[in-house]
Amino acid sequence: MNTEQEALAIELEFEPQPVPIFMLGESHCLAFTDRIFHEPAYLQERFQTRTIYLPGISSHDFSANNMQRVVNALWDNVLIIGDARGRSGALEAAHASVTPLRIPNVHSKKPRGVPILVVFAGEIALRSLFLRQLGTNDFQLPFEVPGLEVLPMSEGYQQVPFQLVQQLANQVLGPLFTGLKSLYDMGFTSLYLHAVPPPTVSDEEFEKINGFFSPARLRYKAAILFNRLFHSFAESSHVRVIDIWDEVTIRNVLNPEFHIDGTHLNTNAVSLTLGKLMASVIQDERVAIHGRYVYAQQEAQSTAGAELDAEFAASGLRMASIGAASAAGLARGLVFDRDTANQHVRLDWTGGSPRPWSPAIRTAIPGAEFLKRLYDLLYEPELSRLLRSCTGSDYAVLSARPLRFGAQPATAERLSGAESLHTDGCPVGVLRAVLYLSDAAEGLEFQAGEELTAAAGPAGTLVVFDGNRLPHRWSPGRGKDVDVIDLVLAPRHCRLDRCVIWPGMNRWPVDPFNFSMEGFKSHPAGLPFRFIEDSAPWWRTI
Amino acid sequence: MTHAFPYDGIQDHQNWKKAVTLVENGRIDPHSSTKFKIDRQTKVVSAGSCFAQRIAESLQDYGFNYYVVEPGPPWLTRQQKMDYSYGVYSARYGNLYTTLQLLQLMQRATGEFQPVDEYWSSPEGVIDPFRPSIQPGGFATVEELAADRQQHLQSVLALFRDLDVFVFTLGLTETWCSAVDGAAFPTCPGKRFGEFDPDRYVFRNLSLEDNVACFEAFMDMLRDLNPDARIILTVSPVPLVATMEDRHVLQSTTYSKAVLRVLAEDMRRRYENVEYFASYEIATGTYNAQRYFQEDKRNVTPEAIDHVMWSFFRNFTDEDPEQWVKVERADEESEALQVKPCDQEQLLALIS
Repeated sequence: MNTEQEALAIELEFEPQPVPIFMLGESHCLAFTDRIFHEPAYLQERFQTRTIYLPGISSHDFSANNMQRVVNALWDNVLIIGDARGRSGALEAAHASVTPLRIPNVHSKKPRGVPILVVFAGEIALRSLFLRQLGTNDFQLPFEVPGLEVLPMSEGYQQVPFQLVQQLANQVLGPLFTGLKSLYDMGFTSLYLHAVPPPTVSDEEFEKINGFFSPARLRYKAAILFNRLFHSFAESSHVRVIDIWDEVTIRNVLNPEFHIDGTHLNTNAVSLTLGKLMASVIQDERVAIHGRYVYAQQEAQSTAGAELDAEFAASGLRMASIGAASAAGLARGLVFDRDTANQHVRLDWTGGSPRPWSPAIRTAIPGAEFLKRLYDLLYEPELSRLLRSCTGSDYAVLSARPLRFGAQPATAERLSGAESLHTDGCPVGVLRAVLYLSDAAEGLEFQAGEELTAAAGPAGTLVVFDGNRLPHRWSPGRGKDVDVIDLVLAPRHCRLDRCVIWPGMNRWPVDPFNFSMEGFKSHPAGLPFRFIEDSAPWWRTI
Repeated sequence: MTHAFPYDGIQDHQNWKKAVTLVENGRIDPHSSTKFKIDRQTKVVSAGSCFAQRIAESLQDYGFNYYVVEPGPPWLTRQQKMDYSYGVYSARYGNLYTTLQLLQLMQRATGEFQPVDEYWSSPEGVIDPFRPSIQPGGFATVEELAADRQQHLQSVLALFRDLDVFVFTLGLTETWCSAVDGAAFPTCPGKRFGEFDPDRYVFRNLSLEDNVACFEAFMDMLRDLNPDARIILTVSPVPLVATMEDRHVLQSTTYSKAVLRVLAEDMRRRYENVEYFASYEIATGTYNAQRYFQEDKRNVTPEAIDHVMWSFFRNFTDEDPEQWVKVERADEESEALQVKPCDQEQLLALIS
């Protein structure tokens, strides 16, 4: 080391950490290497695509017995971890781990929900397995695909029933679908499968690259079939498909603007994929991390457990009252001047889409006074005892949203959403409650067996219910608006404080141990939970 | 002058006592000689009623050149081939129960006949009226059916041009036809396949004269395509599953089989290249007291098939079938195949 030289004064400026998007699989993911972009309208986040290229990976690399390459790649990117104490054991998704050391992630306190993972697979299987197997057999797609008639097709190909070809395709893709499902079940719930891109239109180019001949029209039909199967798989699973076929083709044939080498799309297609991905990330339902909610409930019950209310345990429903005067006090100052569009869409909270549910439902932004008053009411000893007996532990109010159900004419038809019978898909241990701020002649209706029961009541009525167990719907006020506070109660684990949060039109955090409050309001103000300090031994915090 | 009593000189096979009574049941062989033989190079093609499937299987099991023009793609499992009728017969024509169907198949293959009924609808898919059970659920679209049919009929034409020996099992005389153009179907439209319309579909019970006319017409067309073709006729021993005649199904069965047996005899006598194989006699002969039929008293047992095929190979080949072992087929699977019920079996299921 040269001590003679004067040390340079280096100043570092850190940029905010972008949210990673993992692009895993075949060479089609290479175009996404280290792309950094900003989504300014909804999430207002910076993202960076990280490529996990697995050369030659095919469908069978996702089979249950042969997923080592995929698992190793995820492990290398700390998306999958083993036992935190170094013992061998079952692998788990890092973001869903319930090992105390990893709650929350001590390496980055920025809550990001579930990592976004886009898988590129199936295209190699299409070429190297499926088309080779098809050989000189042809088939007819059972749906119309305009434009394919311009593609060359060779003579002498034997027609094979579509069902048999579909069975072959399913056989080829089966391991991929099984593998993706197991990744989803492991906790990768923001999982996407990228559709197969349109093949080259040049038979010569295809043969040169792949070493065998397959006519263009057959290649296209095969690719379209694969993408259909991707979509069918998506419908039957929770894995989503990113499909830019329509954007990169003209009448279903590759637009030359996207041609690069006979196999891949050029970088012009990158923004199309990312645009579709972001649209889904923003609009589609986010899934709470099941394992962490289970753990939160266990923690809550072990540290601040409460005896379960028999009536609630039996029926999933309990009603109480805070009194009309208290309800009136809460309602005072609420201005229902906003629609139900979620203006706080974020990766670490589940919530509504940026589009309003219904023009008949309005919401209000509560003030600090409202939240304090609500906090005092919900944690008042007698009501608190009741709520504890429903949740089985102490609780946190993760969402308190004022809603106004606009008066409907008596003959009005029910709207979809809140006004149609539904269950909520709440995370484990999470209960719903609705506090009527005005008299509700009908209010919530619950279905038990064949019967529909109205939980009507005057202002001040609090209806606590298990939204997963009881199908329910809202009956709009006839000739009169009905104001309510829509509440989400979660078991209060030992790092979570008692709180009442207004998270805009969001419902609950993706991770009960790590979520942001930016743009939200709460009482008490600020983050209601404690991180593990970077320097603190983990055992001191639990 | 005294004349010899005519029966004094009859041969053993003409004598019931020597040909039947004194012969072990499983070795009764109701043949004397055949007009021609097959060897392992002979391109043998089969068609007909369900019973013909068993002949096709045996030919393949023992390594004969069962000529298949629609073998299906190479990736199929044996079960898939069975389900989609690849290799069940030489082409994917399904069951041809009547001589009228056989004739019309030839006419459709040569383009002389284009039936009005192009497809039937079913909740599961698009049905080929002439091959309703050819694949599970029918075809995905009308276009797919049309493309498959075109390919199939081209294959059938090639089959008739190229075959050496055509084994045809005569199955039924009762049939359902189009009232519009006379097209014969292997099953009655309605319930699972298509919709029955009495103005559109009519029942026919083909007479001996009808059958003779159909078979002669077929023979004329086959001769034009393939003058060297030889034909083996058999009569299916499997009774009718139901009759549309207002009489007992046993009577209809007897009538039907009798007509077909006479037809076979007539054709054998008239055509040098037509031979009769007595599978019907082996299965139904009084000597076995119905032991060759299953509990439903309709379908034949595997032992009956073994006996029939033993006799077939004994008479139509120069080899000794006692010495044969089954060959291992390329598409062999360890699990037992689920044999697809033929159209007549499916009719049974539809009758309430």
